[in-house]
Amino acid sequence: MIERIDALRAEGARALSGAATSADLEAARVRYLGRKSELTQILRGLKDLEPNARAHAGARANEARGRLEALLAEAEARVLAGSAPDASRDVTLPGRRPPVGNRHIIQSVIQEIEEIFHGLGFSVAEGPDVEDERHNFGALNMPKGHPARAETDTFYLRPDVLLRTHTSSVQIRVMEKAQPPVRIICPGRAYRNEAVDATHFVEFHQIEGLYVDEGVSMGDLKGTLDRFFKEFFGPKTEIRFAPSFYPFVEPGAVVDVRCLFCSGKGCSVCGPLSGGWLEVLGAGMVHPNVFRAVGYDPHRWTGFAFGGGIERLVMLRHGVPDVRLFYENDIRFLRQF
Amino acid sequence: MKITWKWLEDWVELPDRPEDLAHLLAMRGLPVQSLERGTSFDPGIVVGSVVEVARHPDADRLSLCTVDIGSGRLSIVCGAPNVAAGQRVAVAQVGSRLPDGTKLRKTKIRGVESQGMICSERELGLSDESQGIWVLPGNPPVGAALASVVGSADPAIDVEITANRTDCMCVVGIAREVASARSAGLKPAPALRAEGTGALPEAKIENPADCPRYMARVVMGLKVGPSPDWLSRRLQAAGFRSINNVVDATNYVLREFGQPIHAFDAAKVGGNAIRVRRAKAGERLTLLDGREATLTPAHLVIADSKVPMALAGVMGGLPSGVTDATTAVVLESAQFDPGLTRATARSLGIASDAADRFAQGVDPEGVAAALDATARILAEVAGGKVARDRVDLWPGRAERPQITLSLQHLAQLLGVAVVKDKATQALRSLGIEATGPWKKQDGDEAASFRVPSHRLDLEIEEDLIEEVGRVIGYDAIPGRLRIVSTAYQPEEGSTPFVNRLADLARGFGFHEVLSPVLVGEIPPDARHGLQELEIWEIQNPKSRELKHLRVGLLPGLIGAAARNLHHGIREVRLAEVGKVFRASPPPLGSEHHEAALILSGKPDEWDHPGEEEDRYLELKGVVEALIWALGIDSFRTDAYHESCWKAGTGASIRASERRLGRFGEVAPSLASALGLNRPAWAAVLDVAALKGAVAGKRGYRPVARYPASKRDLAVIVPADTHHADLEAAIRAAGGAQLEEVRLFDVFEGGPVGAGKKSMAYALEFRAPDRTLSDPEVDGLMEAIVRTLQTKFGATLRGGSPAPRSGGAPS
Repeated sequence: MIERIDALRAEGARALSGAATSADLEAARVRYLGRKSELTQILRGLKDLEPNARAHAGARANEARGRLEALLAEAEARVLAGSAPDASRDVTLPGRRPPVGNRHIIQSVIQEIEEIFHGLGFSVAEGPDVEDERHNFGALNMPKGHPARAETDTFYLRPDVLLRTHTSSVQIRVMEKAQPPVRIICPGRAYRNEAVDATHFVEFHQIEGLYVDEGVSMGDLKGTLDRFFKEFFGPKTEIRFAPSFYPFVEPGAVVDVRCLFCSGKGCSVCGPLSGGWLEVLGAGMVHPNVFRAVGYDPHRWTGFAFGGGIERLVMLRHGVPDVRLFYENDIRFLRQF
Repeated sequence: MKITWKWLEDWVELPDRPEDLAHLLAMRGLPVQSLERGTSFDPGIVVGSVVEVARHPDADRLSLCTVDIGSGRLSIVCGAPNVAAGQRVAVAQVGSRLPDGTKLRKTKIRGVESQGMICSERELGLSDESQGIWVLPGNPPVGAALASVVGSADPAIDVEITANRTDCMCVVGIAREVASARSAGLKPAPALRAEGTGALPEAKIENPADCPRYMARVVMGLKVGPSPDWLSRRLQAAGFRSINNVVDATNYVLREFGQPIHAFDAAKVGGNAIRVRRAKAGERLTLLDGREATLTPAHLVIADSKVPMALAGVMGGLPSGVTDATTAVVLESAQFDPGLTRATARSLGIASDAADRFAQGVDPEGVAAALDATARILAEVAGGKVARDRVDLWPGRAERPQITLSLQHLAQLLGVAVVKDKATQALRSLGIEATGPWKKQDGDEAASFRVPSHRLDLEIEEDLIEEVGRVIGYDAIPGRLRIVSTAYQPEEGSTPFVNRLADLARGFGFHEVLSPVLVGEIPPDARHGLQELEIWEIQNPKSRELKHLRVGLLPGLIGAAARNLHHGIREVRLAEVGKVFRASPPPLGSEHHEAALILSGKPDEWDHPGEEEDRYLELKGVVEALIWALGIDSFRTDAYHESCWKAGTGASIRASERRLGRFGEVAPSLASALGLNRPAWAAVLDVAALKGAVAGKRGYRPVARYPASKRDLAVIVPADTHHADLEAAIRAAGGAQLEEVRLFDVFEGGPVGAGKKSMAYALEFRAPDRTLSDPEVDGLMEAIVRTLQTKFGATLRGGSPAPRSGGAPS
């Protein structure tokens, strides 16, 4: 029996090593390793042998089987490689690419911001870019004579018609139509008649947020913006509130994030005196006069509002140095994002 | 607003480090914009005294100066026109380094050796530009290091003041905030020594509403002259020019207390009388700046017994003004009606610091302190004596408003509970005193607080709540995230649809751009037939290039395409989705979203081998695919002429009666007007129409179970026959079992013959319930051919229609 095992091993090794095609290989596999092969039969018959002979023959047969299996794997790899249809194909040639475009970075960031706030239960509201004084100023507690109403800042189309100077006008439009609770954000363009430089363009994008309900507090404002900025700038983002003034909120706040460039150690972006903070938004609790202007009862409802420039957020997060790049529409810029 | 460190320190104890002061003020809502850390000049830059100025022997515009620097005299060539003997100047000696790093060397200028440089403020890094050399203020010691006389001794602080905090537009106001934050008090003001009696004018206020408070003092025996160093240096740091000791003293008090002070030459106050009254029609006044103002009763003036001496709160008059010969002054400190001051200044076209301050409203209590401070400083810097008596008319004295604060509202609005003692203490630190104890009411507690006279911004309870918040610090408010579901509102806006459009365009290889809404002149070919009146025009435009609101996206895209091709980009595929504007109907006009695409240049030869020069059908294909992908199944194209398209290429796409958009090859005249000199193909789509044409969610249709029969059909038709008409006729004749009609070839010329073209279609017939037999399909094909023959005069090309090669087995 031992001789037969050795003979099968030698024959099988020859057949497997000599197989040139996958058909040869398969035939050899069936003959020497298949379920009905002689070697398999021997292994199955071991149980009928007396213990001593069983141990001896078993070891020999298993060894032969292991060797043939190894040879089979080698031969398979060899046959497979040899049977590649065209070994001369230059796989490094560039693929033929379909054209791929990009969303404008401002638009894709707006969409990202919308999605973050969708997750927090805000819906998106829209309003006209061409506004009247009431929606842009008067209802926002900016009476006649307020500096922001001076002609130097606002583009006028007619005596009472202007290009909105902020998206806060949409707050008024929404509250005029809907009763609380109101939980919206409104992204859009705003326009200011100011000198153009690396951080100012006459047109820019803002995002405005508004939540009016019973019992809304500045703590809600902080919690909401903290979550937003953690999603937008990263989970380690820290925010800070400091008092500030906007006519349509009271109390008012300026919202800073810990400098993204120096983690608050102080650098040229955040400046030597900021303590490592970068201003990103204006915010506060909706002024009772704003509620009165839209017919909400200021004794029943409270609310928070916030607003800020999208360009600034993009410039900070993506390191864009000049706001004018966003409007030059140079493909070499557009395709970077 | 600029002040200096030591000036602030006169009034309140400061933290040790500038950063700590900056943080303290920022957390009070007064962010520090800049804080000089003391300019450290090279010790080789010293104070020099110009001894002599002579003409350079070889250059008209240069002078040869002899400058005493204490340790010796230097000969310096100077090009500044303002250099003159007697000036104190900053001299950079040979070997010293300027703040920008330049090292001074001994040089010859036009053949004459220069042993140093007389510096301008710009060269010293003190200002962005300067005209001529910097003449040092005051009389600094010759030879002293410049660093010891300017800059570093007293750093300037620039604090940003929000529009509501006009009370902080002065040193004392900022000091109050620092004191509150450090739980300390203000330092006391130096006492005024008033002695003897002066010829105090007799004063009257005609109308208390115009002038609620008027005060005056007399300072006698003074000498008008230059200010001492400390005064001129502080003023310079605060942004004022030093003029003389009297003017400087008033400007100093303006910055210290926020109270404008006016000084009259006491000798020029006719009849020693002061009348605060409305001007009489036609009265005239020569102002300090030399302008002649003709007055009306709309203007408030300070007059003597006869004539106006000053425009109240706006600007003094020249005849009563202080001159070098003045020996006694009447100092005026007053409160004028803000609206009246603003209106007076505006109607006469005058801008002044005083008018700005009065228009904001001054602190009526502060009027007295500021007056006394001015008198005290004048006595010090001009050697005068202050008379004991003073004018104090206060007919418009008003009770300070009281505001009730509820503990519940406080906790609710801030989102943090504040105990009543802490609230009281916080407000007291700002001078806001409780007028009585906290009172219980309906489970709440409330107390009433009196607003101090300098806080004109505090009007309502929420204002007090902010004050408490400022004192306890916004950091003390814990964040809370409430995720609530508000009432369901169907999405009305265009945002999601706009995003889908831009995403689809991106998938077709188009880069999204953002063009400005503000545009210059709109080319006539891009006005879409709008009248001039329907185009918004900005009344106060920044420039001619930013004058109108865009009426369409096409010009912006053409311009962007031109710029990109100019930069060497080979192929330009751009898309924009944005608002376009019309000036009608009134009042706000109308705005709607447009989507536009442009295609120009050549694709990469590797990625797209064998592209045609004419990419009209490629652009059209993108538009069709985009519309289909949005969920619009059925639409058709018709020729449509507009001047923005090259003749014969314009087309409109409609779904039922809705016009979804237009496309074509951009008219070369329009393209070149916008800088594009290559063919470009573009489409303009109406977003609202697209949105309206989307049928809703697509329903299921059974997938075919039986094979289709495929036939080819090539017909020769007159060259002006339209594909759409042929296809419609084929479909009509083919009936319900004609599933697909696909054009696969158009051929003109050669064997087809002049005036004709060959159109080849692949047709697929299928029945939902069985395999169609050949005779059935043959019958349908015959019907189609007959129809084409009668309707279009079509002839079959290459004999009878044949089963399509490789078609379904029959």
